[in-house]
Amino acid sequence: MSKSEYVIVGSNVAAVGAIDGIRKHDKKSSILTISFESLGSYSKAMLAEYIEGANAQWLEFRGKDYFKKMGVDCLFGRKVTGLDSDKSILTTDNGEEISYKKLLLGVGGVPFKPVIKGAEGKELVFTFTDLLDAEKIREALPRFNSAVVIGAGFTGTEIAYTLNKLNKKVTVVELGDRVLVKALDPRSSEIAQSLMHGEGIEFYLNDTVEEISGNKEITGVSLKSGKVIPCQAVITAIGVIPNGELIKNTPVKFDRGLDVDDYMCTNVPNVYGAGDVVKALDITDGLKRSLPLWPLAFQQGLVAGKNMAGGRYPYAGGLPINSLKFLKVPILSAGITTPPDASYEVIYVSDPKGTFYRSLVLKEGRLKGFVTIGEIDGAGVLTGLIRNKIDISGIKTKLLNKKKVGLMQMPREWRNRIFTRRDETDYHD
Amino acid sequence: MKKVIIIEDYCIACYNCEVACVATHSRSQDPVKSYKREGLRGKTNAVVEVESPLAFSSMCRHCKHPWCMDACISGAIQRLDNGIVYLDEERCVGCWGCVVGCPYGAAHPNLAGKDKHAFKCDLCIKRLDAGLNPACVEACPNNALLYDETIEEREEVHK
Repeated sequence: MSKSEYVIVGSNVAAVGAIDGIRKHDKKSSILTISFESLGSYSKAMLAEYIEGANAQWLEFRGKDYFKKMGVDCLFGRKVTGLDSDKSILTTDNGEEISYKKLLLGVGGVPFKPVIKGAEGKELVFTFTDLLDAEKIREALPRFNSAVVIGAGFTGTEIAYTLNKLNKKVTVVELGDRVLVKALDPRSSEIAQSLMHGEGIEFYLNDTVEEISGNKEITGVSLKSGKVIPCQAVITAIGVIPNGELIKNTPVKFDRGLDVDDYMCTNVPNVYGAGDVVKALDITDGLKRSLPLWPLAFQQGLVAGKNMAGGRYPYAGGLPINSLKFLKVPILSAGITTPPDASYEVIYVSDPKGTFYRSLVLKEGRLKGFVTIGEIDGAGVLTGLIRNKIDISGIKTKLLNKKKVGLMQMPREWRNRIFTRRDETDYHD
Repeated sequence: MKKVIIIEDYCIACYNCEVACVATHSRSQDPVKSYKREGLRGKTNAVVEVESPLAFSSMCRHCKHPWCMDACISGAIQRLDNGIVYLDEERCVGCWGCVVGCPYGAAHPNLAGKDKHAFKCDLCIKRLDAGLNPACVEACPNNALLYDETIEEREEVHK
């Protein structure tokens, strides 16, 4: 049995955050990272670039020798199959046992796959969450000219856009009544949809794929509405759900996401969680939920790592932020974009040409979320207003100006603290 | 570490910092050529905001824990050993994560240029290596920008 002070299951951005965090406090102890994926740490947010032809090494966002540089042992291409949290032992798929003192579960999410009649046995049915998926899609590109994407969320629209760019005929089928429902409000959803439609992508909303027809080769899909769409490939991109596979039958608490405290520790001491697998604080409404987003995974990993190494740093909480990087007209959003009830106020401005749109969601004078289309420079100031819970009732209409959002709109006292001395970023060393 | 300290009461909105920033990050190093021939108009890391009589120039704060870096999906943004938060434009894929993440609005999208990437202040790393101050600080005629330690004593100076 091998031993390691710290063991990290998973090797992606949450793991990288944790390694950074551990090494801030503990330069010496052994760290082992185990991942079923063969390429160590790569950017899942860049899989579309990979499909378009980028080199896999290009996705290694911290460089090829990151693990070596940080003094981390790696076990890649090996799946962790068992966890005995009483004895602090992990088992891998080749029967090896590994004991740990502190464990981080950065096992991410798994794609939610609906059961669709006829999906079994077809070659060109894909998901789009990890490099293996992206490799399969890239390798299959010469074998299809048309595709149906199920789901018009972030990943669905991204893969649709990418395939469309690669000259495939793409149709998106979405169960909900609009695209990008989590990231955008109804008006901006419409703008995003028309932008994508303008590029040649077809959409079927309020509908779902009931059956994939054909034998080994797909001939088309039939929708609930009765519509039949001929296509040669199907990609399901409905979203990811926290991966609870490893902690089944363990005392670690999991309820549609790993339960962690403010220090990213689970109910079992010495077992921590970070990234897409956890439910963590969303500062827009103070609730804990799964927010599978890149920067949050990194921050949670960092906090977990610092605490694993003996620090005591609470997770400051995060908020959903989205960037629709693939569109020609940029769209950014953060926080609550569609108010859940009447206690929120929404103000917006939209340019009739559809090249500029901005909406702000407020509650009790504080910014809770925004969408900005076209003019995005300085949008982070709005994110900062949400994080800092600054009363903006006096300046809210100014924030709708088409020009760049700037620090001019911030309270003088706050601004001068930033300008003159204090580093107000979280997680100080 | 030393950073650019901004004293808004001293700013006279002369935009010299913007011109100096563009020029020093250009091929020609020349203010006229960089605007006229290199198409760098607007590609300034120090940005002057004016709402008369108030004005100031702001740029990256080189945070200890940079929000922009957390959001960077390509690894283009890194914190160097000397504390400078550096954005490698060659590695940037233009995802705008830093743009939406930076609470100071100091990471900018290069939307005008044909290369889709973000850009931000590098604290004039090349000038620092040569023992010079950042170009914006050098160009400021009224000491509204200083290259100095961001220490708590600044609070007293500012009062």
